Amino acid sequence: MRVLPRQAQALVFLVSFSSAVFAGDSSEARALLEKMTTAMSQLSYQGTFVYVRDDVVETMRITHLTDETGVRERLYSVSGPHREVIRDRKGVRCVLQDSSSVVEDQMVSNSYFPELPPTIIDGDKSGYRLETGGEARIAGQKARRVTISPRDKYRYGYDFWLEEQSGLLLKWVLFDSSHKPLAKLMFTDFAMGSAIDLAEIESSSSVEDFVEMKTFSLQKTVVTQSNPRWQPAKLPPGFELTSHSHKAEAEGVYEHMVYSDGLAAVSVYVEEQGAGMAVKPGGSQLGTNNAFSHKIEGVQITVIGEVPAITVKSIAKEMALAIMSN
Amino acid sequence: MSKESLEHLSSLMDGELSREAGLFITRRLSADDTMCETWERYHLIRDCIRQPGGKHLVTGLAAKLTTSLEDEVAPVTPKRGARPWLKPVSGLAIAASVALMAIVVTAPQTLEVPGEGEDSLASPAIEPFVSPNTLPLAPVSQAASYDPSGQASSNALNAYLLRHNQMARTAGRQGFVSFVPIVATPLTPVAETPEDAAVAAETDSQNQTTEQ
Repeated sequence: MRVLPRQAQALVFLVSFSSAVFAGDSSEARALLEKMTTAMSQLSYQGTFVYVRDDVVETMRITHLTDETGVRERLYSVSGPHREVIRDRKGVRCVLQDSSSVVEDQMVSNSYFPELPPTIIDGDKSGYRLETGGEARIAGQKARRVTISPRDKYRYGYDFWLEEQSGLLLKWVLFDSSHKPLAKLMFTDFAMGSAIDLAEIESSSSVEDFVEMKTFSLQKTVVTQSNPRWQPAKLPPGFELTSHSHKAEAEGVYEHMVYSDGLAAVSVYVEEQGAGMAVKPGGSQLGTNNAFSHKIEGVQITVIGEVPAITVKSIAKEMALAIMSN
Repeated sequence: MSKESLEHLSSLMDGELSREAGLFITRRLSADDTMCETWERYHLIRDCIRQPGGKHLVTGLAAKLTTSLEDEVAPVTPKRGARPWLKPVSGLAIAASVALMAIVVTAPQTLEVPGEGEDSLASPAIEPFVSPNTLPLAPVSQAASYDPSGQASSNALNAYLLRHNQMARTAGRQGFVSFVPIVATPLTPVAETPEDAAVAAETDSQNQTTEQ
């Protein structure tokens, strides 16, 4: 029997060992990610964090309560103009003091939304690579890092620093395909469970003080499993349709499709011009979200999501071609 | 020396004379030795009363005054008749310069734009004096403007994003983080790239075709 030289044996062992390590690493990362998802929605927590994007540093406060009445969440800015988002069982309300407006949205039933298998972001055809990283101390808590790196330019990557015991998110970094950081979020103080101040969940904003901007087009919509009226012929690799909703009443066109790769999600809104909300054509940026809007054949196409500009633009273009060829 | 002069001298020592009278007595002191000696004597008496047996500083004032006056170089006075017009003119020039400086420093900085017919190269403009403390030529902050369509677009995108975050279960993985951009940052238009322009042109041409 031919025996491999020692160097070759060592190489084989190293390859086998590293494969096992990476496989274990990936599954551990996936487990931590699932733990984070559960913790973020089911635990009660409160804290102050800094959010850094470009040269702008903003301080915000979050209170997330989970009890027998459901989930209540209040997120508001501590620095700069007063802006806040309140989420409860009724829906979402966004108070934007600098624009003198309140944007409301009804609670969406997502019972039709398919559960994406966790492996979708970790398979061979996935657009991401998962791994666990080192440990750190953040806001007085011991944290563990999970990194999700994009394999191409159509999606962003994330660094999640999770509290060791609960899996709650303590630090978050968004980066592009070249691993250039785009935004960071880090807690400076953090409390869980009974340590949180329940009074903070109540908004200090008086809704009467603001002009209400009703989002007419988004009301009275139903989530459906029927096929959308238009579909883009091509999508960025890994993205697939995960949700479709349309207007309940037969007044004008309203279609909302969500495409996801398992982690990133992109919404495509198709509305009749004039009936819906006016969005300026072209590209826009809303924090780390990119948006692209088209107006074609009497309808407005708006694509939005926390993905690179090229992703929303290419989907919008494909949707425009689909409408034109219909 | 008259009794009145002695009284004046005494008053000067006590600081009770008016300014004009004081100047007059001082002038006399420099020319009248007797008066100067009396002045010294008065000081000596006063010092002896105040500090008996002390060191008296006022000694030989008359001699010192005389020596100082002799050593002083007489100022050169201009001859009468030599450019007698210069004095008022120079006064006017100084006054005009001060006035000009005041105008340049304090007046609003308005630069004249050369007219079409003016040749700025033929008569190069002299650099105006600009005080470092004056306001800049152009305001640093731009005029505030309210863009209703931009605001509506921003609100629309916020509404779309709210709905997107609710619908996208994947966004729920990160919980509140998905809503942070709404709280944090107002809408930022993205600069149009050549590709954007091409897409927009294509869209416009399609729209025109549809309308026809």
